[in-house]
Amino acid sequence: MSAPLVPVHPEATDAPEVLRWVVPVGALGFVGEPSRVPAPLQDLYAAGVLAAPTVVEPAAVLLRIGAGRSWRDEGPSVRRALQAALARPQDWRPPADASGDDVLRAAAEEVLAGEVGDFVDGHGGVIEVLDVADDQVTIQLGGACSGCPASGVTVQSRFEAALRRLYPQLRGVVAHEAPSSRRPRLIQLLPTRH
Amino acid sequence: MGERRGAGFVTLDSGHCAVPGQELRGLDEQLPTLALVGSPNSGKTTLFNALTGLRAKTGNYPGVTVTRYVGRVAVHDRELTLEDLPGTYSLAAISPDEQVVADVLDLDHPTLATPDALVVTLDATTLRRSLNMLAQVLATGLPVCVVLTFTDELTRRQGSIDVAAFQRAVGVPVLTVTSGRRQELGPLRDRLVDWSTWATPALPPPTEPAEVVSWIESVLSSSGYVLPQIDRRTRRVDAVLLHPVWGTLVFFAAMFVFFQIIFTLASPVQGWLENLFGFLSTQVQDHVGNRFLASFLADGIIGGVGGVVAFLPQIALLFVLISIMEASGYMSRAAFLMDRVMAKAGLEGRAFVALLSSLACAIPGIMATRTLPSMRDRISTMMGAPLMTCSARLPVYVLLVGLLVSPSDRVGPIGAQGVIMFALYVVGALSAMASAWVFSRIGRRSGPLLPFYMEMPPYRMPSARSVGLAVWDACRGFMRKVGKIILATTVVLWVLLNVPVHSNATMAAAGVDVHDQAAVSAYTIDHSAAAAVGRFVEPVFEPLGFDWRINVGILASLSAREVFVATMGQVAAADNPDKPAEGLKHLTVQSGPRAGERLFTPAVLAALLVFFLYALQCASTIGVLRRESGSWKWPAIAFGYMFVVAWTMAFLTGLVVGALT
Repeated sequence: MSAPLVPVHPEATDAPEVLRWVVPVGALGFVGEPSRVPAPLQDLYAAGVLAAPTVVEPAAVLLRIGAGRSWRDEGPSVRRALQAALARPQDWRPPADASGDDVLRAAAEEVLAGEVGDFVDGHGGVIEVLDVADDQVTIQLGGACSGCPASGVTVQSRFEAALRRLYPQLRGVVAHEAPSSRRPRLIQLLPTRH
Repeated sequence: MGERRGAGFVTLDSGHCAVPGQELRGLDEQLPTLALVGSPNSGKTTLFNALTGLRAKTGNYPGVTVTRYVGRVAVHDRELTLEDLPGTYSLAAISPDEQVVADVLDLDHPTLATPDALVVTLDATTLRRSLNMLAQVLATGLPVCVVLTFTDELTRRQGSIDVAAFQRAVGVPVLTVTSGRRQELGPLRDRLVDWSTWATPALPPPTEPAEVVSWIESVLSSSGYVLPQIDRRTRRVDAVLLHPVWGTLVFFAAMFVFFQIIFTLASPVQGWLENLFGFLSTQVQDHVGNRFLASFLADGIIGGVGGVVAFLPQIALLFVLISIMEASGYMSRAAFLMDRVMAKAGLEGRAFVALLSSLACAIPGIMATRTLPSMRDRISTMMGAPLMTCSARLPVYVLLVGLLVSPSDRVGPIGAQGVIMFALYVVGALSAMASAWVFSRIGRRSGPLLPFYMEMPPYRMPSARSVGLAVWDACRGFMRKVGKIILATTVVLWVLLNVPVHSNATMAAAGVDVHDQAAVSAYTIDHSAAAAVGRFVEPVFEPLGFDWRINVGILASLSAREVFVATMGQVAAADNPDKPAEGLKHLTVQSGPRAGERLFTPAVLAALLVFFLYALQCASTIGVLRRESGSWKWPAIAFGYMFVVAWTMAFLTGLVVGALT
């Protein structure tokens, strides 16, 4: 028996022609538009079944169906090609300008764009990614978060847990409180010089 | 036990609150139809009952005997039809129930209409297994809404799932409904009427097995699914109950208590019912002037039907216990324990459930064989099931055992009546197994051997409501049987026993004192049409020591065993109207070499008991065998072989007991 297939499933996106194929975390080790994809996928691009751009996320690959094609018809062959391609991660080439911290940065942004971000928004808070380096994220807590006694819990139990699911090798999250957030908002709008 | 294993079973067709006679008429064809799909034990039927408010109608799927449940859901001013499909683990059908689901969902099926949309119930605690079926259902392309059940149990057992992520992953609406929280039904109802707007997956899940596995893996991992721990309570209890030694001991203790409860709790109520019918009968005889009408009402209807209705308490209790065993999860353990024993009979553990249900009545037992995937096992089990001591044999046994030994006789510290009863149950069960073994041998080469799967559900507290529904269904079924078959047979019998009508002159000429009520009745019965029939078949039963009166009883009991009691009651009432049981005891043989001796000698009684143990005297069972096996072949075989075995065993028993006494 051959090796088990790489687990994948498609999810709808706002654009009907784009499906977000959820793939195992860390399957590819890079994010962005790959500069080369393995042959099975490449063939589908050549045949017009798929169209550029292909976007790799920390736990998904966004594929766009070619003009005049439908996911219902082409889905099964795309699924097979994607699984074959995912079985050969070494045949994928990251974007030319890729850097080592891109995956963690993308993961952190994805978390903030998702339910954790919604939760923070809903409580009047703001979380910003300040820096990503050596598997560690530095964020800034602003809005209602600064000074909030629960912010530590939010960062730990929600942000860090969600981020770790997308980026298991995460070393830690460093949270800074926004220094200016206690000042009146009006003043914030003015350019300040230090 | 690790991962719980696939395919489970439904024993009694319980839980549904539908009137079987009420056919699928009156359902508006114009209404949109939604169907509930889900594995057994996924809370599907509970949800169905909650949504349709217990006003379901039943019928059969064309060509097969799988019961079809259809109800109506009203939401504000809109209505829709909801159908509860049989529980299934897969659309790749291996049992008849699963075949029905596959056919209903098949858009190209020639006769079955496909529903407009599907509601799939998924047990959140066994999600991995259930997703396989969801993938198949989604592949049909019909609009689908998922209802996650038992999420409360998932949480309690330290499992978890992100419902929003799960909904994104499967691409269709997902709602959670926990039993006992009726407020969750509101959003579900609203969602149901909007079936035409349900999101459909952009791309249906794959169908190729390896790809399905990959899809399930991916969906579960992106929904953050954490497998629930095996319930600690369940694990601890199972350590004892599934233990080869302790578990078996507990099982036999449970069975012993089971029968003790049935006999001890029910007997006082049975006594009250008998007194009530006795009182009614006396009232009728005292107040109805017309002799024939009074006899018809008192002996025929009240005596015949009342004698049978008196067993309602036993039947109700039997079903209370069976449905508690089932709902609590013990039934599957019992089946698991019995798997090895059943294997000796060439059957699998699930066949045990069918046989156990047959203790109540062979009909639910035979219907429970539907959960057996192999047709060979089904037939073997069906051939054995009618030999289990069903509740219809109870009245007969009670009557005959009462004549055989007195209540004060003892074997050691235990009443002799109880010992004989228990022996009858044991012999019935052993015979059922032996018969199943023979038939599974015969059919060995036909059909592949299928793996034995059984689900060990966590122990759950049985809900009073579902137990009540099961008992109510059973009692109503029994009363319907009493109302139809038994009433009709008793009436026909009464007529046969009382025609032709003899004039006083004829009777006087025959030397009968026309003023002695008992003598008149005795003369009438002796010269009745029934007597003629009974005498006609006398050569068949003579070797067993049965006279024409017993023959009439046996012939009448071909419709239903209980009728024997009613018939004997009518016969004896002619001799001793006040105490029919006493009358039976003192009946004497009228002619032949044994003339003048007591009719019911121990040898005859023992032969009769054994005859009833084996003979297939039940029109309903024959009907169900015909429906479930699909032809008259198997009921004919069953009737034939059981009659031969019954006659032979009765003959041998009569010889042995006759020699001993």
